[in-house]
Amino acid sequence: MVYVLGIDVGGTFTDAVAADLDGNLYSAKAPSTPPDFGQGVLDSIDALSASMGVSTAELLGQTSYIAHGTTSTLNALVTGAVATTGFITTKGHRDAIFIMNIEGRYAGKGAEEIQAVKRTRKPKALVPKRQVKEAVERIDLNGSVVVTLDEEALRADVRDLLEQGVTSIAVSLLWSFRNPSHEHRVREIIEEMAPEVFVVLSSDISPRIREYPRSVTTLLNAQVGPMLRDYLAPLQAELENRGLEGPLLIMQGSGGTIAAAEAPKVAITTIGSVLTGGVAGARKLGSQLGHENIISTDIGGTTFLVGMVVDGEPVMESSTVLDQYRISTPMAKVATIGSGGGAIASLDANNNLHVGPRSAGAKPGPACFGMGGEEPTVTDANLVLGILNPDYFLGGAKTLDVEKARAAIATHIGDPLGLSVEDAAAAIFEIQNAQTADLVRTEVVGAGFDPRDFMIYAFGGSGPIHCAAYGRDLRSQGILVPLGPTSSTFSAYGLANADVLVTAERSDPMALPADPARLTKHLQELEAEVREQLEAQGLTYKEIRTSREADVRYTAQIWEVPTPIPDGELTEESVRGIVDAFEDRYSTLYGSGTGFADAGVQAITYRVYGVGVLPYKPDLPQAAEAQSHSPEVKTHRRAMLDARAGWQQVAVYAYTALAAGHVLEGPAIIEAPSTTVVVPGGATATVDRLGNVVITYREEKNHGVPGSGL
Amino acid sequence: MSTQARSISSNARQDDAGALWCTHCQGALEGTADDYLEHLPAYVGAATEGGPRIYADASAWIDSKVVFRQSYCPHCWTAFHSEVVPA
Amino acid sequence: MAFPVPGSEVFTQRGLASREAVLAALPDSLELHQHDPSFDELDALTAEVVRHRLWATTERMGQALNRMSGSLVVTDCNDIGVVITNEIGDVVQVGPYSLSLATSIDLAIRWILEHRGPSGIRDGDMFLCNDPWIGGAIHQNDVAVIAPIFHDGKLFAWTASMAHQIDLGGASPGSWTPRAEDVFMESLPTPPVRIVRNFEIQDDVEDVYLRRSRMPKVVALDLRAKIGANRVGRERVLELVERYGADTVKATMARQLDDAEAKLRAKLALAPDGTWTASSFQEQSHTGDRNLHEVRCTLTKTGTEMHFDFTGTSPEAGMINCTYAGLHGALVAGIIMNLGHDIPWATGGMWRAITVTSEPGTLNNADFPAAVGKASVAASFCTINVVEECLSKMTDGSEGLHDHTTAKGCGTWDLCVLAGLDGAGQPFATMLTDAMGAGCGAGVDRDGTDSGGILSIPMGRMPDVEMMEFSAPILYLWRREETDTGGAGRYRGGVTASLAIIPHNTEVPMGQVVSGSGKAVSQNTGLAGGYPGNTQLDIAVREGELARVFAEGRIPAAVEEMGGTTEILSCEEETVLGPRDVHVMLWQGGGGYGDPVSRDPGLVVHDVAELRVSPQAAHDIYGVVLVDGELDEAGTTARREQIKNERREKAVAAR
Repeated sequence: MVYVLGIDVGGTFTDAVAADLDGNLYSAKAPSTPPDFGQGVLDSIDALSASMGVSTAELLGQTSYIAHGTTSTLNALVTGAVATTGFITTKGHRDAIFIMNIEGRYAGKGAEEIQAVKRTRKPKALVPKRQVKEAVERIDLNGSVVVTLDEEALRADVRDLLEQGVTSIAVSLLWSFRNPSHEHRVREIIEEMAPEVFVVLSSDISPRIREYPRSVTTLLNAQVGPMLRDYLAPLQAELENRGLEGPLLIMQGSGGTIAAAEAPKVAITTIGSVLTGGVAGARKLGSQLGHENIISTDIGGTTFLVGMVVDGEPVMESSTVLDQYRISTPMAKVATIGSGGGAIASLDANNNLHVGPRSAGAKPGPACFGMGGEEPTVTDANLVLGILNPDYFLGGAKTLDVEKARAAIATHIGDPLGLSVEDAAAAIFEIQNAQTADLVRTEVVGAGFDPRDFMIYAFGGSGPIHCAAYGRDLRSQGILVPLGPTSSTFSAYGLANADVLVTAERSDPMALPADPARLTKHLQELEAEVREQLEAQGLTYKEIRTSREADVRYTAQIWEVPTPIPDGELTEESVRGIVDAFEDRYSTLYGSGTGFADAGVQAITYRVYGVGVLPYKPDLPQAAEAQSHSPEVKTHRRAMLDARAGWQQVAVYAYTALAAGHVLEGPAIIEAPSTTVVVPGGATATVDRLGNVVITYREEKNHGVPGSGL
Repeated sequence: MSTQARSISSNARQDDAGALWCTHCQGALEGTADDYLEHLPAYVGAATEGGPRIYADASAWIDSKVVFRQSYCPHCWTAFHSEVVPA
Repeated sequence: MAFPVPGSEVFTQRGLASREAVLAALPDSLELHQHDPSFDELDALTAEVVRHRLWATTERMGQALNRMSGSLVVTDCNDIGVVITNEIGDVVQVGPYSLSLATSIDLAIRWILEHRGPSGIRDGDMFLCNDPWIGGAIHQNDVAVIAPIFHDGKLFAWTASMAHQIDLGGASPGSWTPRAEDVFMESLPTPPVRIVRNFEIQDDVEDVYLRRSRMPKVVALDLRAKIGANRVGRERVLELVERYGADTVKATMARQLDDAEAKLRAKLALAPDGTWTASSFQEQSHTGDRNLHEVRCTLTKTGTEMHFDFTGTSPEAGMINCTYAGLHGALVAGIIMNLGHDIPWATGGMWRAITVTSEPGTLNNADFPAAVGKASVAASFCTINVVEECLSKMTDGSEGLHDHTTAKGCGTWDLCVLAGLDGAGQPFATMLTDAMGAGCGAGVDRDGTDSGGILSIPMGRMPDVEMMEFSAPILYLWRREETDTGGAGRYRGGVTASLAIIPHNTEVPMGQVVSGSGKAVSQNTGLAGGYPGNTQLDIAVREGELARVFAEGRIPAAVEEMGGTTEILSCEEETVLGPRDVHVMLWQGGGGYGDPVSRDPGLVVHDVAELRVSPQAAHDIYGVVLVDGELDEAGTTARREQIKNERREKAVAAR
C-alpha cells in the first residue's frame, strides 16, 4: 500500500489529501454535495487522482486507509433528520431529559444571551413525551436491585413504541453504570421483539454518574446511529466498488478515528468529526517541529475554533454541549465562537462598539464582497486598513470592493462615532483581536494552562491576519502559520495523520487513598475493553498505547479534575501518588492554597484511552532552501497593522517567492494564495524548513502579576 | 377614537382626551389609566377555579379565606385580570 | 422576642452613602484611586475591550468558585455571587449568578470603608462578612469574602465572592430555624473581619468562623473557593491596569456606570408615566403562626426615574423577614431581570435613577435583632416578586417596552434540609435543591419555560438525581414535571416539577426542616388576565409501606400508592423523617399571560399531548375540546362561547 488519504467535508468544499511513502503530498477540492455528502467525497477523490495523474481505481487500489471527517452526524442533529427513536428510563424519571437540570435553558450560550435571562429558552425536546417509556425497575447507588424489572410491562411499552414507528430505542436506567443487568435485559427483550431495531444502552455508551447527560448521550446516539450507518454503508460499498482495498476510518470528536463499520454504535462520538481535524493537524505538525504545547486557532468566515495540544496530545474534555444539551462523551476540547472574518461590527444605543457574534456568513458576506452585504465586517475593516489586497483575495479568485467596505464602515460606525473610516476600521480590528485573545485565554487558562508555555498555530482564511496580535497579547512563545503544500487543506492533512482512538470509562465513587487492588481491577478491565474495541476495528497497528485517568475531587465537591494514573499494578504508594497528582493539578487550576486536603479526596470515574497507532504517518515535505537571506519585496503599501503604531509604509511579500530560511522584519504583509499573514512592527517572521511562517517578537518579556501569591 | 391612542396594557388603550377602550372589542371602558381595572365587572369564586393545582383548603395554613377573582371587559368578556388572593 | 439592642445601630445600613460621605469618613492614610472626570483619553475601542474583560472576569470568578466549592447548593445550583466594584463599592459588573446577593455588596463595602478604614485597609486583606444588616449577605448563610485591590499604593477597586453555606450553626440544621423568635436563635451574623491579611488566611479568625458550623470542613473548602475566586478577579483587574493604565481602566468603570444609568433612563423614557402596585404574601411567619404577611410595592414612574414605595408592607414577624440589604439587592435584581437584558449589569449606575421609601421595622426592612435566617427566600424573594410585577405592569402598557413584559415565575423556595447519619454511621446534612427547577412566567409572545429555573439566579441549576442519592442516604421515587402547574393564559406559564424521596440504606430517623410559602396564596401571579401557576405543597407520608410495594414489583407514582398516613406540612416546621416515611414536594410553576380563552387551540392540543395541560383543564379553562387527542373545532368554538356567557352571568358589576 502506498497512500494514506484524508478527506474533510466542509460546508462548501470537500478537501482531500493523499500522502505517499516518499513524502509527497497531494491535495484537491470538490464542491460538497448536501444532502448526500457521499457524492462530494467520491468527487474529491476523483479530483485528487486526476491531480496526481492516476486513475481513481489505481489510487484506491493502493490506499492503505482513508480517514474521513464527516458532518453527517452533526447535520442530522442540526436539521433534525434523525431516526424516530424511543427512550426507556426508570419509572419516575421520564422527565430528566425535559427538565435538563435547568441548565438546558442557557448551556452553551454566550454572556450576552445569558444576560437576557427572561429570553433564554430551552431547545426543542429531543422526543415527544409519548415516545418515552418508564420501565418499572430500580437499582440503587451500590448497584443493588431495589425493584426488579417488570418484563411484562416493558413488553407492552416496547410494543407501543413499535406501533409508533420507532426504528431505534435508547435505554438509560438509573445507576446502570453500577449494575447494567436491567439494561441488558431490556435489550434482550427488544431484540426478541424487534431484532431490526437499533438499540443503545447507557451502560455501553456512557457508563458515568449523572443521569441527565448520560441519558441525552444515549438518546442522541440512538437518533443518529442509524443515520450514520445509512450514510457510511453505501459510501464504503461504493469506495470498495471503485477499488478501495484498505479500511474507511471515521474521525471522532476525540481526535482519533474509528472503523466505519463500528462508528454507528458510537455515532455520537463523531459529532466533532470535522472540528478536530485542525487539532490533529497541529499535533502532527508540532511533532515534526518539536512543539509539544500548541494552541490551535482556526478562524474561518463565520467561526473561530480553539483547541489545544499539551505534551504532544490533544486536550480532551469529558463532556460537551450541543444545542444546549449536555453530552457526556470524551472529546477533544474545541471551543467555537461566532467570530470569524464575517463577524459584523455594530453600535448599541449608547454608541458602544461591538464586533460579532452576528455574522454576515457566506451570503451576503462582507460588504466588500459586493454580494449585497451592507453591514461592516471584520474583513471589511481589514481591507480598509490595507491588510487585504483587493486584487489578491484567495489568490485573486475574488476581487474586493474597497469603496463598499469604506461606505459600510462610515455609515454604521465611523459617522455615528465621529471617527474617520480608518479609525473606525482600526477600532474593529483591535476589538476583534482583543476578543479573540480573551476567548483563547479563557479556554487555555480555564483548562489550567498558561498561554506563555504555548506556540500558537493559526490557520483558516482569517487566522493569520489576527494571530500576531492575539499571540502577543497572550505572550505566547511564538506564532506559526502553516503554509506548506497543504495550507488550504490543513484539516484534511490532520485527518490523514490521525490514530485510532477508543475510550472506556466507568464510575465507582470511592475515597482516596483506596484499596489499590480495587482500582487496579477497574483499570485493567477498562484496558481489556479498549483493547477489544481496538481489535474490533479490523486494522493492523504499529503499536497500541493505553493511558489511564480518574476524575478526582475533594469530598463533597461536585466537579472533578481529571488526574492521570500510572500504568500497571497499583500500590499503596502509587495510589497516594494519585492524590498528590490531583492536588498539584488542582493548585495549578485554582491557585496554591485553594485546596483543602482535610475535606478528603474522592475518585469518581475511571477512564482508559486506547490509541491504535497506525503504521504510516505522512510528514510534511521540506520546502526549498532560500538562495539569499533577504527575500524579495513584491511591493510596498500603506497599511495599519497595529493601532499603537498607526499607519505605516509596509513591505508586501508574495509567499510563493519565499523559501526556507528567509527572515523578514515587520511591519510586513505576506500574501499567500489561501490567506494573508500580518507581521506587525517589532515582530520577525521566519520561513521554517517546511515552509511555515513563524512569527516572534523581539522584545517581549513575560511580566507576572506582582503580589498575586496567596 | 383618536389616532394618538396609546397602550395602557395589552388589554386597554387610551386617547389623548383620556377615553379608554378595550383592545379586543373597542368597547368603551370606565375610569382612568390607573384605576380602570377597579371599574370592571368581576367574579369571585373558589380558589380552585384559578387552576386544578391550586390547593383547595387554605385553612391548612392560615385563618384568612383565599379566593379566585377575575375581572372582564364588560363588552366582549375577555378576562383582563385573574388572581388567587386573600378574600 | 425581638427587643431593641442598643449598640447594634452601627451595624445597620439603610441606603447607599454618597461618594462625598464616604470620602469624608476616610482616614488620610487610605488613598483612593478615583476617576478623573477630565480624563479624556478613553476611546471606544479600549472601553469595549476593558468592558468585555470585566464581564469575562466575573464569569471566570464564578466558574472558579463553583469548581472549588464542596456544597451542592453552590456547585449544582450556582447560589453564589461575584462582583467587581470601583474603589467605593459601586458595582461595576455583576456575574450571572444570584443577583440579589451580589448586588447587596455595595452596602457592605461602604461599611468596610467607614468602619475598617480607620484601623487600616491594606493590600492583601480580605474581609469575611455574613451580616445581613451590613450587606453582602441576605441571610446569614450567605457569606461574602471581599477583597480590596490596590494599585500603586492606592485603593483601586474591590472584588467579592459570595456563596450560600450549607450550615453555619444556630438552633436548626441548615441554619434555618422555623421557630426562631429573633436572630439570637439563628446563625451568628459576623460583621466584616479580616479573614486574610497580607495574602494569608488568618487561622484564628477562620477558627472563630468555622467553630459555629455543623459542617466545618465543607465550609472551610468553600472559604478557600471564595478566596481563590477573588484572587482570579484581582489578578485579571491588575492585568488590565498594567496593560491599559489605571486611569483608563477606572474611566471604563465610570463609563460602565454611566452607561447603565443612561440605558436604564432611555428605557424609562419609553414607558408612560404612572403608578403600579403589587403584593406578594408569605403564609405563617414561624412555626405555629396562622397569619398572612404581605410585602406591598407601589412603583411610580416619572420621566426617567422610578420610585419604589413599600409603604403598607406588614410589620416584621417570626423568621420570614429581611433587612434593608435584602430589599436593596432584590429591587435591583428585579430591574436587571425585567429591564437589564441589554444594559450593563453595573448596578451602581442603575441606582442613580431609583429612589426607595420603606419603613424600618417592616417585613423587608427589619430591625436588629429580628430573625432573618430565611430572608433570601422569604421577604427578599417577595420583594423581587413585587418589583417584577410592577415593572411588568409598567411595560405591558408601553409599546416600546412591551416585549419586556412577563408574568411572574415561581415566587418562593421549597426548602427541605435533612440531617442525620448515613448507612455507615457517618453524619450528613444536605439541602434538597431540586426546587430550582421551577416554572417560568409567560411572556407577551411566548410560553414560560417549563422547569426553567428561578430566574433571579440566571445560571441556576439542579443536581442529577444520582448526585443527590450519592450525597445523602435517600432514594427518589420520582422527580417529574407536573401537569397543569403552569398558569393558564394566551401564553402559558411554564410547568413545574415535584419529587418524592424515601430514606435509603439508613434506619436512623433524619432531622428535617421544611419551609416554603405560596401554599395558600399564589405568588406566581398571572398577568393581563393570565392565571397564576399552582400553589406549593409539601406532604409527609408517615409509616409508608414501601418495602412491601417494592417487593411486589411496583414503584408508587402517587401518595395513595404508598400506604401509611398522609400529613400536609406547614409552611415552617421542623420534623423528623422516619425510616419508613416519604417526603413529597411540589414547587411552583409560572404565571400565564392573557386570557386563556384566546390561546391558539393548536397549542393547547400540543400541551395536552406533552402532558403540560390535562384534557379537563383544556376544556374548563382554555375552552378547548379534544376528541381522541385531536382538536374538535366546533366543540371548541361552542365551549369558548359558553365560557364567555358564564362570565357574563356570574360577574357582578364593580363596587
